[in-house]
Amino acid sequence: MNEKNKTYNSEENEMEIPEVLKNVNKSSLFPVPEKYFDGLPSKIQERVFAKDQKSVRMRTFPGLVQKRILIPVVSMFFIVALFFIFNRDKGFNDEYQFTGINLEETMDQYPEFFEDMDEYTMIEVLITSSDNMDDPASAIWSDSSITNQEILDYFDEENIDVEYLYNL
Amino acid sequence: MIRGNESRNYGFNLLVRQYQERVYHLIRRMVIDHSDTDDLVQETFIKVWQNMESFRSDSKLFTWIYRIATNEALSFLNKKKRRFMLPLVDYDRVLESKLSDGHSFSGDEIQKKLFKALLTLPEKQRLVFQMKYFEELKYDEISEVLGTSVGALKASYHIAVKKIEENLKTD
Repeated sequence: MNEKNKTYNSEENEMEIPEVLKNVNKSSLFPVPEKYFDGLPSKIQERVFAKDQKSVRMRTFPGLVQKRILIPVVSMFFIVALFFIFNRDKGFNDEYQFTGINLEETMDQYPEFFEDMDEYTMIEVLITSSDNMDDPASAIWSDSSITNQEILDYFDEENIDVEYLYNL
Repeated sequence: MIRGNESRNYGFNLLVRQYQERVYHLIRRMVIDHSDTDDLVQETFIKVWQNMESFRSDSKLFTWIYRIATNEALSFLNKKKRRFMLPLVDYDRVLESKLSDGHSFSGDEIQKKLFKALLTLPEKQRLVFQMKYFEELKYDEISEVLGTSVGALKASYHIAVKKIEENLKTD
């Protein structure tokens, strides 16, 4: 009787092992790749480390990771961003529309309005239509359709004293 | 040592080195294929690491690790069998073919017959037989691993041996 069978019979008074099983060699039934067990601990530790890192990242922002918080926060951000973008565009358009007024085009479009208007009244209209009431000269000159020289020539032809502008 | 923070990594490495071969062969006998076994062994030790805090010192470390390993192997086989629910494909047949392919199994004819006979047993009975016959564990150790009473294990092992004996004789 070999060592293994002794274990079976003495340990817990077990059943007799059939003869056919006694003849089976129990070792080296499954081939294992060479040096497999040398690399296994480090392979396992790499995976353990990767999982630990992932769980740390998940714990760092636990509240934000939850959809019920993240979705409203992102939605609010977009609503606020859209509000600012919309209002910024609106303001830009208003400004664009104002500065886009061309004096010559306006005079052509409404000749009856301007034909009885003397030069001083026209200057006053221009100044009062401008945002920059503190600097009337720049208000007039800000119309890009008229060059500085044209204005000076115009004043000269009409014998208008430029000093008049500063006394308005 | 394994539960201390500073030496945890080192201790875990030692633990893997200590038990890797036993765990590997326990799982390999169940799933036959090396790459499946490799995955399951890694999963087993990852679970050991993750649940180290819940390990109760009153039970043996190796029986606790064996319990995790057997659960991994059993749930793997159950998943595979659910996937092979088509009547034409039987996962036991897949395992049986792996015994004959020359890559997964290097045993002689008697050993091959024994493992083919083992594949006819229910998985838990197979586990009991393997732990008793190959691992030579005591019944109370197997009882701790599988959570089954010693009496039930003795009966299960007895039935398994009889089935295998008959199977080998008929071949």
